[in-house]
Amino acid sequence: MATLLRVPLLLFIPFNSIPQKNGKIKSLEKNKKVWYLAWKGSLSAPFRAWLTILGIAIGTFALTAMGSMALHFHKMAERFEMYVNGKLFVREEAGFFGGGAIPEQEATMLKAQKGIQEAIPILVARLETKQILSLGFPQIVLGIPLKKIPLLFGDIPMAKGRLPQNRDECVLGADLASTSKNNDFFYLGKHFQVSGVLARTNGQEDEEVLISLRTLEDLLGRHGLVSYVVLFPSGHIPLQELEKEIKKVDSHLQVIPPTVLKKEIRQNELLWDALTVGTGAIAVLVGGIGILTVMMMAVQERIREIAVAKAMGASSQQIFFIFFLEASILALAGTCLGFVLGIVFLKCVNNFLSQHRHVPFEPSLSLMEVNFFLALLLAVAGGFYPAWYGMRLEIASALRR
Amino acid sequence: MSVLLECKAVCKEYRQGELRVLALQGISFFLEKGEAVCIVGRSGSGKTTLLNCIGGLDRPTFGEIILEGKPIQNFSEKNRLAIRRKKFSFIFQESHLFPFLSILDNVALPLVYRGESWKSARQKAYLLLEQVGLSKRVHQKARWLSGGEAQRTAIARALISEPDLLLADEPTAQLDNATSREIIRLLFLQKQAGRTLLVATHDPVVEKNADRALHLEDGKLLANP
Repeated sequence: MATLLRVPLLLFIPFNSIPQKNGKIKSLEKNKKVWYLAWKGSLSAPFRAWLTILGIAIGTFALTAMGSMALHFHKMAERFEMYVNGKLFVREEAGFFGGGAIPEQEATMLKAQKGIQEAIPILVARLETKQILSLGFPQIVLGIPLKKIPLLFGDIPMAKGRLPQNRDECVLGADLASTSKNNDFFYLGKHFQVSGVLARTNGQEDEEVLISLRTLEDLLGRHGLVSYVVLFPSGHIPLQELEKEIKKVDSHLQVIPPTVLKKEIRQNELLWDALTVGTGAIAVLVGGIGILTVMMMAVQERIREIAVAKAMGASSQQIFFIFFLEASILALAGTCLGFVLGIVFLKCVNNFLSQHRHVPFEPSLSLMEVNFFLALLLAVAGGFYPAWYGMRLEIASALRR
Repeated sequence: MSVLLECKAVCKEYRQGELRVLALQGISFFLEKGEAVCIVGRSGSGKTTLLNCIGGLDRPTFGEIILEGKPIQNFSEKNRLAIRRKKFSFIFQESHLFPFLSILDNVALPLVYRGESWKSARQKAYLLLEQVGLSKRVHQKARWLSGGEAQRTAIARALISEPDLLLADEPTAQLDNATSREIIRLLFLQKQAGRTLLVATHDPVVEKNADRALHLEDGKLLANP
């Protein structure tokens, strides 16, 4: 919060104190008294001021939405990284039509290899078999040997209940919890007792149903084949050596180490960050040009006022301060409005979507710092030149206009 | 009476594209403290330019302007600002009030620029607005004032910094006769308060009220009584 308060104060620092050559700090307290003039001046053309504020607010709104999506993605990435940490994912090499299945017994063979502590076979099936397109994560059913479920999901707290202990029980992800009534869950005609619900992770787990591997095999009528195997390496054996060990079992197996997965996630994070920064840059550009135009018009319209103010004893610095502060007020009002509207709108969208499925935004007050920084940039971008222009005006020539 | 201000061979040259315009050509005169002097001349004769040079709003091209024994024409911007704050006040042909501020705030402004608090400046402004007969409308926005009211407010604004020299540039030019008389009365009341007045005008009533008149024509002083 202290940082939040400090950022807007940056606007005033150059005017509060100026270090002098002799090392003393020159106090410019009297400049603070003219902020009232800036406030009144910014409202002197209310329609124009509101249009500018609205323009900036739209930019900030977009930035808040993008920032919220980026934050959400970062959280997901964080969870994903936690999940893949210390694990190796093994699947059949992908061909033209995608990856194939792995014989289940290979999981037992892999566990017997040097440097591998545990190997867990996992079978994946779509929850909605008719589902073609989905937004966000796909809803899936994971078939996992019952005893191994705590190894894979033990680090996720339970929102309620416990992990499944028999073939008729299942655990639901947070987003799927609402699909169950009276702890009953049905999949491919089979009734499951919901033994528990996972706490929200904002990741794939929210869209998963965990059941026994044997049960899923029975339901799909497909025995002895799994989608992939999760390996827990023991000690610090180099990946290349582990790969050799794995290839001994089946030369067509493909090993995906966590580093590769993390790299992919980082690339996606970078993309999101670039989109957010890009939106911010566009908001600054558009808002800055808007403020620059409005402030230049204000300076041109009030050119005689500036001259009269100087004649009455206003210093050039005070004139600069008034116009720069006017631009800052517009920038700050626009960013605050856009931010508040953005947060309220995104909360509403989240509330609406959470009743159905995935929540795509992470509206956070931490975005306020970004918005204040944006306001500062806008004020500097749009306010500096008009303020400087007003400051440099020659009184006599301005009075003649 | 001692001399407050003296102009010695003041010249001002402008450039309008290729054209050189000599707005003032060797103007020399002095002002004694507490004197009311008017500068009379047709439009374009150089009255405003002379007032601007004296008031530190413009710099003469040649010549000297001496205020209380000190030449001020080459003062730095900082020193010229100090003189504008302490010694001079201006009343312009148009009132040039800030339309988005109240009458009270408009009058208080010069003191705020000097660093005084709004509260104290407004208290002093109120007293002055009482003197010019506008105390009942202090919170009204300046944009709604009539010409005479605006000029009375401008006079109050000029007086608030208690200047030694009051410079007025055709203060009655845009007013009707009755309002002009009121403004002239208010202006020349300042002479009684011991202030020095220099008024550019072509209003014969102003000339009649002044101690003496300086006649300008094409940038030259015709008479220096």
